Amino acid sequence: MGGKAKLTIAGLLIVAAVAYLIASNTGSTAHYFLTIEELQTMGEEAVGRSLTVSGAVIGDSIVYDPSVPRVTFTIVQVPGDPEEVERAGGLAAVLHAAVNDPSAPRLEVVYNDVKPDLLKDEAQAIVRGKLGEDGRFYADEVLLKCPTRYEEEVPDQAEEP
Amino acid sequence: MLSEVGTITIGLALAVCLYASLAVFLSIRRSDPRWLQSGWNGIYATTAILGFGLLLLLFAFLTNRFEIQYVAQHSSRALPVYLKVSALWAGQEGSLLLWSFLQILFALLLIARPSVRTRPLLPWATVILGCVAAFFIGVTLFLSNPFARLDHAPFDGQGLNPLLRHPGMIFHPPSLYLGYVGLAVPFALAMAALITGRVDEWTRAARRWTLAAWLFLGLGLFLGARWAYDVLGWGGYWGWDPVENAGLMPWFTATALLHGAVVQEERKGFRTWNLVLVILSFVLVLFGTFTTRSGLIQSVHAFGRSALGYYFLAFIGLVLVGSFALVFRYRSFLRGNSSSEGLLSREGAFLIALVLFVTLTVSVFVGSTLPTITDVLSHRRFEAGPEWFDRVTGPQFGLMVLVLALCPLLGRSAQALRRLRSRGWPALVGGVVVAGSAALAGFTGWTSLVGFALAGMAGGTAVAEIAWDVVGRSRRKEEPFLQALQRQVSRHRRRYGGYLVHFGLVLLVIGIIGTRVHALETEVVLSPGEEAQIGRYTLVFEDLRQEQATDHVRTEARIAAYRDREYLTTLTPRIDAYAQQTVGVPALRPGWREDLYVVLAAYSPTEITLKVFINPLATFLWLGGLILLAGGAVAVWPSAEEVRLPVAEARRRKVRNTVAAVVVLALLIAAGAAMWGPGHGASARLVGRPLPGQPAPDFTLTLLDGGTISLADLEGRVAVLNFWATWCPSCEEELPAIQSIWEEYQGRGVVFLGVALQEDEAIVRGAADQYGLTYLLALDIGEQVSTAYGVTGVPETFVIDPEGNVAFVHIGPVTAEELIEELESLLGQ
Amino acid sequence: MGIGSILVGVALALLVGAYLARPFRQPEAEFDRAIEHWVAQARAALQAGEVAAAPAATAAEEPVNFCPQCGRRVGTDDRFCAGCGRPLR
Repeated sequence: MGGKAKLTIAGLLIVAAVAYLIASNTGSTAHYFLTIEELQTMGEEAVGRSLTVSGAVIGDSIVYDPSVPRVTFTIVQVPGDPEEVERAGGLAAVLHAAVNDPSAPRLEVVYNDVKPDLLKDEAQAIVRGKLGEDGRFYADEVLLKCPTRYEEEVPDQAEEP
Repeated sequence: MLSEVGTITIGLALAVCLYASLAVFLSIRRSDPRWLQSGWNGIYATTAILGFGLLLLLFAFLTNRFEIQYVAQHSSRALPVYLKVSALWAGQEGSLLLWSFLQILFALLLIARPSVRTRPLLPWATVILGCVAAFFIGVTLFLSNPFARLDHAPFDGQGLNPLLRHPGMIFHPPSLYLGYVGLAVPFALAMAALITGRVDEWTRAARRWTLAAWLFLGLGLFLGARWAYDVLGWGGYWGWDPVENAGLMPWFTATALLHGAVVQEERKGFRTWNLVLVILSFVLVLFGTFTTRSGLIQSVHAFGRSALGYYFLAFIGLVLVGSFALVFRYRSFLRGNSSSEGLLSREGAFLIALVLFVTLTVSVFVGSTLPTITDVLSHRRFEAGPEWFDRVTGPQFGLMVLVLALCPLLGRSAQALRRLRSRGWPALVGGVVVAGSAALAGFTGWTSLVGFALAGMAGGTAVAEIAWDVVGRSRRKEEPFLQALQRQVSRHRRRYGGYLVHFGLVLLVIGIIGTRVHALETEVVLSPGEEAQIGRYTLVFEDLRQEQATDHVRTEARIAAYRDREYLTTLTPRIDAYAQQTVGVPALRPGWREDLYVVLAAYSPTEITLKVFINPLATFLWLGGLILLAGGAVAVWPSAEEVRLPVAEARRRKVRNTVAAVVVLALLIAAGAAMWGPGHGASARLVGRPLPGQPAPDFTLTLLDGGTISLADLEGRVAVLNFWATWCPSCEEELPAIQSIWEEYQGRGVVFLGVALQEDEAIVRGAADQYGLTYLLALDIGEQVSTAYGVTGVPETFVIDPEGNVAFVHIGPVTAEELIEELESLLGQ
Repeated sequence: MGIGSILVGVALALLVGAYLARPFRQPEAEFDRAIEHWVAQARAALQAGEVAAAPAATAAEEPVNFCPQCGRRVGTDDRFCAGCGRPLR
């Protein structure tokens, strides 16, 4: 077989191998990315799978035990679709509304680690981990975005006087 | 008025920039050099106008003009000047203005001193760069104006996010932007080459730009990683965050382009590859900035949602379609020149490397956009976490290192195997040495050993290549080795720069394997004086201090760290509590084998919680990174032998080169400083406090009542050594307890010795009388004994057993119950 | 929008506009001088009885104001283009 052909085949093999790596890992190690509503809709199926859930943090619910350390807090449903967020007035507004809505779906999160600096009321939390049998979410990782760091929907330019 | 003038400035800049692009385009159509000059004047003017705009914004920051919304959002009266300056690019509006300025500035640099090769490409390149700059200026003006005014000007601004208050903030974003913006120039040159039919030469024309952009992008990425490690306190440095990835992807494609360019310049090969790579690089840059600003991709890094996203997406689409249309239209220029080399040849290895760079870029892209992709394909959203990325990219990186190890050894396919046999031994030696050392050092586990072996092979090859090259020259020209080395480096900058980059990469790989595969993370809760054992390290919590600074409260824990039971350093991790946020600042003690990294996670009056990370081989990361960047700097440098120039021109070049040398050196030093930089929270005292079980340090003291006492005098007896001072309230509290226990135990052969860190004898006597102290007292003249015992404050108490070893240590006051228990346990033996 | 800002804006725009128009205005003065130069040359040649060579106004032989290769503006007496080194005479 010509050298060039061997080279081409090697290249194609690499591409195929990478495609396989991507596909197989998406099935296994990737996290299923959900809102709380979607999680609740999944029901039993969700238990034990690697999941990523996003929601707004309810400040009053934060309980921290430094001796373990473990922090538990509750997050509230926040729409996953950016369009919907935009229509509702921007992320900061959506987070605020979510926290103050008593009927919105909630999820209790247990995180066995030190309390993150940014964990506070109305922060957007993205938690990665698994849903436990008891209905609580056991997080391996908690990513937070501080509400004051948000750029709101592009502000209207200051009106001319 | 400032707000209005600022907005007008940006508007004017947009108009002039659009005019400039149009004018140059007209000059091409009409072959009229006057339009060309006018267009170029337009570029000069736009640069000046935007520069003025930036200065205006800077002025607003420095004079606290909080009626400007952007200033109010990112600055405050109390902010130090250097942070006010860097606040300029802390937010979206300012960073877009900076980007626009840099974009047009680079166009100016391109046309101001054109090299022979870029000259024919200039007109079309200017049109393209002008349009790109106009896009950014337009977006800034209409969607993201930094000069937007607040109707009600606050008295003080919100201040800069505490996480950004770090010297790294000065260098990280601007460096990234220089890299991003810089990649537009090779793109423009490539498209111009395509249109003018000069597809063979553009990589040579664009070489300096590609290298410089690559260098600054790489510098920005490393600074970001170091900043994350130093400041963010999660013990790591790369989270595969979509925004991090946004900088990594164009860096991969730019690296690929640099390699492909070598083949294009040697034998006009890989021309289509290189065009695709340069287009991808530029598009990925646009995509990267889209990611940070659109909110479409979740990230803790991102600026957040804004309407900019759609416009960027549209522009990306335009660029993609336009450039590939050009490639398709002029594809006839790209025919021919394909090689017949096979797999085991240098060119074959290059091709495999290019394929890998592209698959890596695609992998990272897929991972970053996985939620969108999976949503579209299957209506279920999946997200790729760090694990996904490690598993997908790991094997690819491994293969890349293997290619790196073998490529320099290959020549033409014909004699590949023979060459490998004769020249492959340094690779084998390197592989065995590195993997062997790693195994001996305790890094077992077959994945990491394989990784170390590959890295060692690549390192061996890199060193051998340099050695063979220099020795060869040294023999041919009969020069001493060092002189030959210096000559070769100055004649072949790109090649030696490349060797250095590869060597740096080897170290980097070693660091990555160590930190990602063998890292240790744990939490401990400690009360004052308590110790914890983690691996080889013993941590002793000494005390907690709190102090009020201008805008935050700093709570700092002092931790004595011992390695193999020997004092190493004192760590001071802390928590800075600002009005809106708390920031944990880690303490870091770097080492060759591993880094000791401690974070103060929580504190209470009685105890603290520490997160402790042991990061093996982390130092290799930063060292490798620095060497890699230095290699890039060497490659970018003009070679010694250039075309003969008229005297005036040569002198000008020399001045320019010297200035550039100073600038680059300063940048590298600054980068190095930022990487190993300020405040790691670790400072070693001369002598560490002995740990329980270790021999008590010798001492000799003059007793208050006459005579001397030394450690030898205590042999065979239990001794209590109490360091105290009259000005210390806690000491006063424990004195009665100590006295009463002394009275109880003095009949049992115990020795109590109070060492006062107070040199005024009268005052000490006064206190002794006041508390009725009847045990031995001495003054620690010149703090000699307390230093020998590693005492850092008062009170501290050491209980020494009859063999002369320290049995118990108390940092802080000791209670009667504790002392009784300890004495009983020692006397009972 | 305050009067001050408008004035600043207009002033800037005028300055920039003048700078952009410069390449179109320069040659007039230079061109006139060049024409005078040719005319003087022609007169001298006529008077010397030689057949005046047609003033070859091609850019390659007469000192022009813009380098034909790279478009850089050059002085009328320059022998080489400072930007690209191309000979101008």
